[in-house]
Amino acid sequence: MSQIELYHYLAVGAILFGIGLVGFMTRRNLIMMFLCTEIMFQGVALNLIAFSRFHMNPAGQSFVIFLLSIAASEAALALGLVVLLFRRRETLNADEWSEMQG
Amino acid sequence: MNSLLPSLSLAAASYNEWAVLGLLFVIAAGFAAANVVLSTSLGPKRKGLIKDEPYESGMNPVGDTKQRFNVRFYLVAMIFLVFDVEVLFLIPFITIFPQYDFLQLGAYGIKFGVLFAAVLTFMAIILVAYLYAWGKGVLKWD
Amino acid sequence: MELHVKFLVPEIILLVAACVVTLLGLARADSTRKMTQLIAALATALAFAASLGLFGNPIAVPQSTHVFFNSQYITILACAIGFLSVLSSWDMPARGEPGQTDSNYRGEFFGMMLFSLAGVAMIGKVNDLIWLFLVLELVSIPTYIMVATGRSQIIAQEAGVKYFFLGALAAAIFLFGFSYLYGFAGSTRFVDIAAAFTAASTSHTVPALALIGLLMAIIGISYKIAAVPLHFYAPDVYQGAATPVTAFLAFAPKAAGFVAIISIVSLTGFNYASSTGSVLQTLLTVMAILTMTLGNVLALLQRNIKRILAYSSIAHSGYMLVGLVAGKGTPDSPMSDGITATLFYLGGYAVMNLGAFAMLIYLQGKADAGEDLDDLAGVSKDHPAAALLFTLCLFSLIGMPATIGFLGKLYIVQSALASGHGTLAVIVVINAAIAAAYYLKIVAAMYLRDPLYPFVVRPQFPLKVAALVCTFAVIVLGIMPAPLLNVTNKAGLPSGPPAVHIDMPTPQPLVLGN
Repeated sequence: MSQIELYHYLAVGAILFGIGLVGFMTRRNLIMMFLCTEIMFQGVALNLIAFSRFHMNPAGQSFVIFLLSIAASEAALALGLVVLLFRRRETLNADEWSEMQG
Repeated sequence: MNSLLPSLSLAAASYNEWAVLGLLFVIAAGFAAANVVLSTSLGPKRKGLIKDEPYESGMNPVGDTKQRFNVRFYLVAMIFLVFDVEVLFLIPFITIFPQYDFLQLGAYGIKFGVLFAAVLTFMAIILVAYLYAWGKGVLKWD
Repeated sequence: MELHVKFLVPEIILLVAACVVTLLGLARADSTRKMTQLIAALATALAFAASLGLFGNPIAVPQSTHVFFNSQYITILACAIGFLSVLSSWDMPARGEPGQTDSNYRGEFFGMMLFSLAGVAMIGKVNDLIWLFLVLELVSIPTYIMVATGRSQIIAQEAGVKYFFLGALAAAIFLFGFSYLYGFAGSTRFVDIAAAFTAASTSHTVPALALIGLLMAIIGISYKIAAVPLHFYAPDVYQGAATPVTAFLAFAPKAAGFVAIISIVSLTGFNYASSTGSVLQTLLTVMAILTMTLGNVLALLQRNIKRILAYSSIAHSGYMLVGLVAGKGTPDSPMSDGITATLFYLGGYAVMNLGAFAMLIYLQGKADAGEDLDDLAGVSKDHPAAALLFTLCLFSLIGMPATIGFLGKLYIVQSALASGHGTLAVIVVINAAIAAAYYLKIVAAMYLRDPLYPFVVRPQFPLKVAALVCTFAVIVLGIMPAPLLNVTNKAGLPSGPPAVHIDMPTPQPLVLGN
């Protein structure tokens, strides 16, 4: 009853993923939207670690290292884009960015 | 539970051990709450222009806290973020490094030379990124 | 055991060249910086030679049991289209007006392009979930940068941000699927996952976990190929990016995404008869029908040529998905092989689309010109050759006989019919008829109207070469498809162990403390 099983980890992973997904859809600030994708990545990482431990297979852990490094490079790219955008338009509201319609 | 996924036991199995943790939370929260309540109820209160100002180590407060940072801070943050994580890749190499004899087949069936060449290639690619940042003038601060 | 690096010679050439080009772009002398696209063109040509095995390097990657296509085909395609892409973006990135090159950022631009191409060249050889994820990101991340910095208009930055943020979301979705696939099989290697699926489906115990993993992986990767449900970014991003970047976007992520989806579906062995397979086939069928119909119908409403080509790109993804629905077919009738048909169509689409975009780049001598249908009015009067090449490529996109586009659609429809998807084949044909309307609208504007103002063209010689080669390939391969079909076809490939495979040690339980 009080044991922490694989399902608990998967549930937390799925909840993190869901929080990130809902946040991405509802938030309009670009930095918040990016943080939501990071939360989704962390949910995936938690899944991988739990499965790695469950199967006693180290591939999942190395997957997480690669995932973290890709997430970091995406964060650097997001930071660069956000700085670029803010200098051009002085706002980070996603709704203000609608030059293109059609 | 589903038979495909048997139980994964990572932590202790009894309530008593968690009760200790709960007690810790109660004591911590209670101590903090008691401090706040006692100091607001017992301490003297005086209001005034100078008293209401934020405390800045004896200096007169200047300006708004919402200052725009120099863009160089963001550049350094970006560089740090990437290189910081790249170090992570060296840790697995270091952990198996002592098990190897040079040019011998190691514990994982890979020659040390191959492994070392792989790590050197990785470092070379990181070096390209570093040279790029240097050449772009990100590391210059003035 | 040994690391099979020798199978990756074209990719290594591209990656080294990408590093060299990026660093050369920092040179003080402007003349050095202007050499970068020359080096990029040379590197892609070298990689092309290497992908054909001209340097004595082994090209036929030993196939693992799960792969149903020749990975060399994707490498050749990536290097060839990469070479033509470098030629057609010769004066990039643009500052203000096209033609005014911002040589300060030229190294980055071509470096990013080469990184992305190396990813596309590698994707056919992938045999592990981790590797698949890394290669998909290697293809995508450079394209985000190319979109945002390809030109200085604010619309390009808006497109870059939109592309990046939705791309990160899509990456999270397919990664979540990957994590469940890993959890199902207990291994990231495709061979092991395929074996787990085979074992589970013979005993009818495929857990919901594995099915969710497959579906989320495919839906997430559908972003890369601009297919429903993650297609909506395409028109805005294609319009906002500089035209040479748009041409690249229509090839690199799409090729990588299709090969990735084929790999994911191949994990189930294309066994559409099983319960997992039938769910997968239903998903792919719905995606195919929605993608092509939505792309074609919305393209009819557009006046901006880049938006038309974006919706056409969505529609062509739909046609290619039909080949996936058909599956790998039966060995006795080669025409029922939908995977070969999809890969053939991918190559054909890359060539004809790049040809059309190269002509669009040629006609865009001024910023924001040549984007509206009115801008192309009467092109045939002043530039008959350009109008002719553009028209030939558009005819191929329609699927006129004697072009590669016709053969591509023919193989797709054949495979759909052979696998018993008659309705799907009819929907493809109806869609091809709808698509003719908006392509012919561009042709009509070029030939039947009078020019509104004098044209300014980009006179670069390499651009003309790229357009000529593409149009030539569209016609020649449309009449004699044998060379392309031969490399696409999986027949005659040696079977053996996967290309790169490191034996993981038998794991010991983790002991913390002590």
